Amino acid sequence: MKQFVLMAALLIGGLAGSAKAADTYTVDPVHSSLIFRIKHANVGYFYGRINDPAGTFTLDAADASKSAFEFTVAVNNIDTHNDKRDAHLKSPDFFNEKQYPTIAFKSTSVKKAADNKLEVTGDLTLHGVTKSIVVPVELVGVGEFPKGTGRAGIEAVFTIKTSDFQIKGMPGALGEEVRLMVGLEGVKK
Amino acid sequence: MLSHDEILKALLVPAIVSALIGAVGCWRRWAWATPLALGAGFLLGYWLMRAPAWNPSDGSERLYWLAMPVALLAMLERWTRGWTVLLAGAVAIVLMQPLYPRHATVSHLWGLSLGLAGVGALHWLAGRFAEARLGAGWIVAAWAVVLGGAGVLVMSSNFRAMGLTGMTAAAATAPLVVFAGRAGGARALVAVAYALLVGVLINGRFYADPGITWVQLGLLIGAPLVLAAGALVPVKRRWVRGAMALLAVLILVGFIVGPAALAAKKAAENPDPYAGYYP
Repeated sequence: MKQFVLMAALLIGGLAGSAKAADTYTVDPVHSSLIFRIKHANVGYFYGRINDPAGTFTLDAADASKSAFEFTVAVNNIDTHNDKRDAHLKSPDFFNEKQYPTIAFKSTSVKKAADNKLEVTGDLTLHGVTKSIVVPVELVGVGEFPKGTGRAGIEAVFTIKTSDFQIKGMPGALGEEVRLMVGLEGVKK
Repeated sequence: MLSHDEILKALLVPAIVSALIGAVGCWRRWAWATPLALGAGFLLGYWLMRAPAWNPSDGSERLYWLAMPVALLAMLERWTRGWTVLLAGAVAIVLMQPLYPRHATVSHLWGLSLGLAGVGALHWLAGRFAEARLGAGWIVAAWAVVLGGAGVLVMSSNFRAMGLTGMTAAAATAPLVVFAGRAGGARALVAVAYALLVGVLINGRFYADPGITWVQLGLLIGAPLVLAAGALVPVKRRWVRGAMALLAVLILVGFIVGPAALAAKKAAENPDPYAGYYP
């Protein structure tokens, strides 16, 4: 009887332990960044950012396929340290914020690529167009800060084409490829 | 400042195409050739700049597709007795609908559209009155000025694509000053030009930030009506009345658009075509 109880306790503990392998984090907008880079006049790179990304991500250390990523960011939060340029980017010449206010990404499959690296396939919705893209994600770290508050950080760097999302842009003045650098820190739920 | 590519595609090609069709219409005295010239020139210029997707992504691309049926219906103006100018109301609804309900409420959708349709009726009446007293050329010239002014104004509101569209419409209208008189299609041109003007200004008002103001939109929409006032000037010579009417329109448009044009001139003095875009 005692052995049965012990085995049941171990089994339940094991199941509970494996269930906790997947942790879900809520994006902390204060410590997260979304930076974009685009070529200007074919001579230099320009960097801008979109503030306050939101969303959640789930990391499963035991089974990467059970990880998941879902983010949104408001186009209205574009910040290029120039108010007129920000307004132009929000206009239909670029993101058309009034018609498409949100940029969103939702993962559809995740697989392990290497140690602390994942290959995430998901749907990116931008300017009213949804395209499946593959994003390499690095697991930067997991810890506690402050004590008792679990945190995790990820980073993704990938490139998209504005023409794939029907963004008119300014041909000749701006390049078609945009590099996105996303650094997200999440607070464990 | 416009690039060489934009000057060619947005201004020269529409003007040339419109002139060719207008010349044929003038030679054969086909009144319907006048709105066809404007429509064809505008659509070709737009297509050369940015061939829009069949599933339009925003209001400016919707205007491209709307211009086709509007131009075709305007060609029937002779038989519809001006009802085609009411199409501007329908244009307004279609352009604003994607913004519903965040940026265009039901009152915007219907109130503005009905109002624009009503103003369209006034434009037809004013055009009919003015054409008899001034001649078709002055009417067409006034519409070219108003369309070009709308383009400059909207471009200054951080909306380059739509600003170019307005200028394209103006470029396609201008050559018809020479041909519309003999062809007799001035009132039909009003139907197309008014719909395009409504489209440009609605995009500039609702899609861009900070966007043009209600006052600017209202004054530009109403500017061609000043022609009717000019037609009442008690001067014997017709061309003098026409010149005075056009001058009145120029002054009104200049008052609204002048500050924006001065800013564009300042930007044009910078060798980098886009550096001065964000002063």
